[in-house]
Amino acid sequence: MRFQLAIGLLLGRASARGATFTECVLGTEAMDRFTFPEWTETFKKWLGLLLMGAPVYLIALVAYGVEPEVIRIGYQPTQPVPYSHALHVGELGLDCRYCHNTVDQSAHAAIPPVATCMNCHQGIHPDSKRLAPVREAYERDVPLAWIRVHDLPDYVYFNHSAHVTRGIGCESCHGRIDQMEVVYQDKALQMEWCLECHRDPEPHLRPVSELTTMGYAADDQLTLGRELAKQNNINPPQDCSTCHR
Amino acid sequence: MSSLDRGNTYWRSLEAFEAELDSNPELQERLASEFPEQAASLSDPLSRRRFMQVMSASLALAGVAGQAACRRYEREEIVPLSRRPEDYVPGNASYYATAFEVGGVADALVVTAVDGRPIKVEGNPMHPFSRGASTSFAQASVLHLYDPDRSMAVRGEGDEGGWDEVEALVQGQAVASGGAGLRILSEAVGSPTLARLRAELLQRYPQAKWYEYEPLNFDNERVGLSKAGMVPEGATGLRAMPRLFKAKRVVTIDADIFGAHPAHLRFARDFTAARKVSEVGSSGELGNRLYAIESSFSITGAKADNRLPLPASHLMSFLEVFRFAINDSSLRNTSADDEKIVTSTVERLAKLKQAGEAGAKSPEEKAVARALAVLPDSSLRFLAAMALDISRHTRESVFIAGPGLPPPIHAQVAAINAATTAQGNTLDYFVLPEGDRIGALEGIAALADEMDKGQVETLVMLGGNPVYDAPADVGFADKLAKVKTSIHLSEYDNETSAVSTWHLPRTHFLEAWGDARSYDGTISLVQPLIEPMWRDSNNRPAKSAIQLVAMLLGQPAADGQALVRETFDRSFGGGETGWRKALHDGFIAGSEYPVTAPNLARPLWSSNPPPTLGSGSYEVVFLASSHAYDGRFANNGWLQETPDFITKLTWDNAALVNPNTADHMGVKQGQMVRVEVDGRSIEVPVYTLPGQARDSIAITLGHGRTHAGRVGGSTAEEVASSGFNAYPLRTTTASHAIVGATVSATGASYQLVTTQDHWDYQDSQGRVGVEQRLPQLIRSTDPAEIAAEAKKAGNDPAKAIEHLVDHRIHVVDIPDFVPEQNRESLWDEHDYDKPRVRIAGEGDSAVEIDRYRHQWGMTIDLDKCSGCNACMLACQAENNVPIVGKEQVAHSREMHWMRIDRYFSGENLRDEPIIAHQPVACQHCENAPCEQVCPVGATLHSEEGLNDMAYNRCIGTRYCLNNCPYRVRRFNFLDYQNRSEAPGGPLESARNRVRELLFNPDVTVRSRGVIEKCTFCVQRISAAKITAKNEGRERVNDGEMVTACQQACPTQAIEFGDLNDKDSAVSKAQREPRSYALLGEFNTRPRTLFLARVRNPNPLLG
Repeated sequence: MRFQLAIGLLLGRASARGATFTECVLGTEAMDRFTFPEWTETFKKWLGLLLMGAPVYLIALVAYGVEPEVIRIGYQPTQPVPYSHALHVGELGLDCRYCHNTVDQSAHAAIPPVATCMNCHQGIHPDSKRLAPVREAYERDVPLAWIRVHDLPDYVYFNHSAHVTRGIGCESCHGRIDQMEVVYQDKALQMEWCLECHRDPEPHLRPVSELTTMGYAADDQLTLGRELAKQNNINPPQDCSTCHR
Repeated sequence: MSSLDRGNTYWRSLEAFEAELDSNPELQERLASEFPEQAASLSDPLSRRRFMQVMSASLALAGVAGQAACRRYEREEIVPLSRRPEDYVPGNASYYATAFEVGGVADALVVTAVDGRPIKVEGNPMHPFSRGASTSFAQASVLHLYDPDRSMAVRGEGDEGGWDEVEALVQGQAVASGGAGLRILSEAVGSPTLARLRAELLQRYPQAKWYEYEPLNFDNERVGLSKAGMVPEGATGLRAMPRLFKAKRVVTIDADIFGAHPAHLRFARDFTAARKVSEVGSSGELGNRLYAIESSFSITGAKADNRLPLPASHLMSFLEVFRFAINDSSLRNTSADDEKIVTSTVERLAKLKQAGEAGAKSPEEKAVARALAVLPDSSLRFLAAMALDISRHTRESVFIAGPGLPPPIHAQVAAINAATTAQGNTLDYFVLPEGDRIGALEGIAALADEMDKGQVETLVMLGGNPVYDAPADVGFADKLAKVKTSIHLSEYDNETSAVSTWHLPRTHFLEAWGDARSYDGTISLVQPLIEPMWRDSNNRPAKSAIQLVAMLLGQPAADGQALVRETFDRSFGGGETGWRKALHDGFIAGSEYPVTAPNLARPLWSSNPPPTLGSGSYEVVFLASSHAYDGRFANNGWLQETPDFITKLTWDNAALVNPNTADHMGVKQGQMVRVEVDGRSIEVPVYTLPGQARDSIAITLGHGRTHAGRVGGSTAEEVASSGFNAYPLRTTTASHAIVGATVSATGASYQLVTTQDHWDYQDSQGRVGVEQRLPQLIRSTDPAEIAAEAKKAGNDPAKAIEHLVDHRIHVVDIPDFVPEQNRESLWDEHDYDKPRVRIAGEGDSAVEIDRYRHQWGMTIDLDKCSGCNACMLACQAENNVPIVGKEQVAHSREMHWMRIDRYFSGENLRDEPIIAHQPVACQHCENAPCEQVCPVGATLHSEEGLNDMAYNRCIGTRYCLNNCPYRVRRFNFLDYQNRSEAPGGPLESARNRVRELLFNPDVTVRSRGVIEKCTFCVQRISAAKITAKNEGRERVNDGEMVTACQQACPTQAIEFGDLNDKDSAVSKAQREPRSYALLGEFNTRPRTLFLARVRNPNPLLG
């Protein structure tokens, strides 16, 4: 009976006194036992729309699923202060750890307090308009609210120190920060992307002295990677609880 | 059914036992069904409708949330401090030593703070007295800090006024009168700073008076010892300090030395250390034996080797007879057979009993005859056998009386301790400062009298809640109305605040400076970890007790730190180095009370006959509640929901009654009764507790609060109280037990929610199968058994235990009917003991990279475990475990990752049961049944042997829960943190957001529809591993990784560590002959092993 109803609906033949198509297929005897009730008529006019809409929906679903907006490569929010990594790191050559100094001690590579900015900017460009929010925050002792760029889901527990002390450079996850006027997300940060490296870390291992070097290229990365991995027993875990707990 | 040996099996509840006994099919069926309560709730139309409402509402909400979540990532902000303090690393935990005071006795703590938020409380391992242990109350104290029900602002007359008005008021009145009308009522004063300020205040206002009141106080011992004439010259008061690490025989008289006693952390540790249970494998003997003589089943009674239930009002009689019996020369007859000695002693006592008072010659014999009249014949043999045992262990035995017992019992116990030469050997006496001050009960009575006579103009109450917990005969509430200005400083706007003219908000101990003394007198500094959370509209924070007293002394802006520092500088030499060291360590070394050699106790014989009980007249014993203590923790949901160790009741108290007494009364469990004494009465439900002394009713205090808050009960917020208030029956003269109570059924019934039948094991044979299996699950043995078995095994006790405990976990106990070829393991063999190896690269350039793999494992020593619940609360705090509320617990939906199973066993289950208990959490099976059935791979094994749970994968099929033989998985049926019926209200309401600050940031907060369970504190494992590796170590050192439950355990019953390290404490424990696996026959290969309990009963008492 359900089958008949389905066919009837598909062909749009359901009517108060029975469907001609099903009559042809199943014979009148079958139809004696069942006729579509009248209220099914109301479905008929929506049916075409539904059929037409289905492919659109599917395409939209797939497209949205792989859209960078979702994966977030290239996500580049506007920050409260137009701080340029390209200038400070790329041109002036500041080490990442001058500001992100907890990166090798903590899970977080802490965003620096404005006091760190003022170490230099009390003397350099003390009157710059672009630095006004920093000065204000410093003078009034209120924090600046930066916008998180690299945002992992809350059930993921990533630890910077565990990666940095084993020779994974900043660049491996954050890209060429030294070329970014405004920081954006360079890598997908999906679980698959994490696991790629946890399964095969050699292409990414560096000597600890080169951690913050941007654009670091070893002569033979794979050989170096294997050496370092062997030397430091780098055999990353891939258990659920490595990241989820 | 008849095949069961009832004496040797274990029963979760009296109900289960009697279901078997009566062959009650209905009961049996209910107990056997998998989700009994849940099934009932779904067939009940009302609750089903409610369920549909909740479901549809939450589905609608999920739809809305789904819309909003389409973008996948919400914009998040990072807000760093504008100036970061030195040494502060965002996201890393910092640890500070502080102390938590209850009843004038401090627990030394180390508190974990993350980003300035205190989130976890642990014991201070450096502290000389508590040595790292902590109480369940201390564990739960951090929840109070973030309690949105705490009071925030001053509430004056007509709901107006602020701190400025308070300042003017207290100074004006105090100064004007010279203190004549000024009275201070404080809680028990342990703090040296408060004592100093008290002295200063009384010096400045000589006419003012200072009283202390504490409903559960420790004054009776001090008073009793003074009355016995023991206080030596130069001292004013004494406190007994039993040294259990030296004692071979310990006798407790209504003393819960593992639970309610203020020194229980130290007692538990010393007792288990002296028991030398791990040496039983080589010697076949145990270091000590515990006798418990008590009215109600306590944790101590459960751990006792021999236990005698006796009404509290007959304990004095027992002691008198005992003291008489121990002097008998026949006990020292070494040539006679033990059995003969005991029989002759019993006969002699029986003869005295028969002769009665008329036959007695001396006043001593008269007292003994009177005492014998109330003691049941069955107790005489216990008494005689114990007397023989104690007489063989003079200098090695000690008697301990419960702190609440009346002073004469303390004097009598001191006399016995002197007679058995315990004094100076297993027992020391501390000299208490100001030991001659008035006791709490006399004090409150004197104060009430003064208030009644109109002599009190201004009453300043520093904490406490006397309107709720003062003795009923004092009539405190009525007399308080006669005081012109009553000022109540309190963390909560409670019953006393409600009838005081002024209520002042008080700081939490984690917000304020202070100091306190532990039971042995060691001074701890209390340092705050956070600024006071709440401020009033004028931005003025709450104040601590010492700040308020300083205000009375004319220092309204006194800083807590300065006050404490001043005391430190004056009394302890001072100096910046010493101060820093004391702050860092959490205590001042060498500041314990001095030990003295007191005079021998004067013999005291009671001149009045002991009260007779029975035939409609009962005694009521008042106990501290494990949920609320004296009522002060009533608004703490963690404590309310943690099942009481003995009754397994949650969110309630009840009148605990022996099943036989209940039959006499004609009442059943859950029926309401009216208990009446001297015209005062309360109504309370009955809970039938096997092992409760006959004709004695025990009720825990601290329940039935009307102004506790939205968790513990509040009339203003229309939240029902948890449990029933027993204070209306308590009087100044009968603060421990009151006699002459009558009981009548009211006809009403009440839903008591007990978890005793929850998470029961399942067996294809039904209940019978389960009951047959239970002796395998809770294994125990005793020295006699070991000796007998050792004889067979060539005098090797270790082999004997091994055989008795049947610990071989990998040898499967397979039923005979399984054919030989089917007995092989279905599972692939694991190679967990090998390092993890990875081949990097291919061909010639391939490198083999190995890495050490820890294999985590745990042992729980059932002999050490006292069942104090500290582990459950530690787990709750560490792992963000939600509370679900009474109605959900009734549906067997409590979320605790660790449960403590409690079983009754024994021939005479109603009167003389033995309690066995077992903490059960996820066993982390190597062949985990749960992992096999998860359709989405949400629970998988880690290479370190952990049974991981990935919440974000879980779709809530609950297959794992159904396939877990240990019943340790918990399902989030509802969004427990955030539903509208959550105790205290949903988390995300504006008022409750503050509770989010308590969450451990390293543990996911689970949502509705996912399974959760013990993770072996995987967040701590990760942290330990990362620290080790960052420091260049491959391995985590033994002892570096401590689980939350292990840390909290006062007896160190839990060991945790790396099984691949053969020298680790856990490996050694797992190799002990006592170790066994739970349900090892399933070949699940659990990583948690239990160590069998070794009981050491007196052989003469069978």
